[in-house]
Amino acid sequence: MHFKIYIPPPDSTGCEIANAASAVVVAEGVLNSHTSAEAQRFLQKQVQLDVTAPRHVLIDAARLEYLNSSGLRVLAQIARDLRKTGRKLALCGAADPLRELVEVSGLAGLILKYESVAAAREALFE
Amino acid sequence: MSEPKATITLRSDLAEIERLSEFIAEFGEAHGLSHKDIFAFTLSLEELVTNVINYGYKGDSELPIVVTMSVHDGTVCATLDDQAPPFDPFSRKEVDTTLSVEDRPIGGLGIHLCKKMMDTVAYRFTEGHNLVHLHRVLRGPSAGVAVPSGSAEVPGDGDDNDEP
Repeated sequence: MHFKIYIPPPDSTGCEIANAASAVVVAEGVLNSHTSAEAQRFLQKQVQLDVTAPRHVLIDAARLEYLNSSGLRVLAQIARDLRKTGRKLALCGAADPLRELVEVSGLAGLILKYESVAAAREALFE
Repeated sequence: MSEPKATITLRSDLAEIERLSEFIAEFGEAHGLSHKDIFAFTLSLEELVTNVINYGYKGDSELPIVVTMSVHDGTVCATLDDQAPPFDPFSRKEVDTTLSVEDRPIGGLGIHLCKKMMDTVAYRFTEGHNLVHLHRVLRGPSAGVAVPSGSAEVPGDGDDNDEP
């Protein structure tokens, strides 16, 4: 089952990654009960690493193919942890069915959705 | 029955989930389902089958889980048949969406999503089998984002409703 979660190299998206107020994480493939533990470990590390200089976490989900309740639970938990220090979690560029899923899950207040990483930055840091 | 139909028999093993999602994708592609429809069935059936394996069969059963999908008059029906002790997956209380996102428990989410993705869900126990029925009216790729809230009746398809 294909799943990858990583910090993108600085030149891969054409936009400035080392942004003072946000951390970009790329999630690709299938985020389900088999892969949610890996996602949780990775994201939790980002939450902890950033404690001294809190940043929003923007997940580039353009190549995320699948997300189920197990994956949603992880995202919601991370979003709750981020909130404690005034930070937000955003899912950026996700396919329509995944955006709808967040909507019907009732978690849209926690897991923010944007068209792209750039759109999220614009909305969050205007 | 002349309607297009396909069946897969799964073992009580979480590794079977991958076969299940391949089965749904193949059925969907063969019958022109949109990406949204395939996603809705994959999500719902994976959730239900995982629950049967973990809580119904408690992981180690020799008994099968049989999933059947059919399409008729623009509606896809899926049936899940297992022989675990009687359990209605839809009997659980609705997720309380009036609670703030901070206070809301995250459990029960899978079944909540399944109900939201389907137009009708039904359960009955008969002759030692749990039978779960899912119906969804097909949405084209341009059908927009509307997912009916609550369970609606299946429009224009009154011949195949197995109400408990």
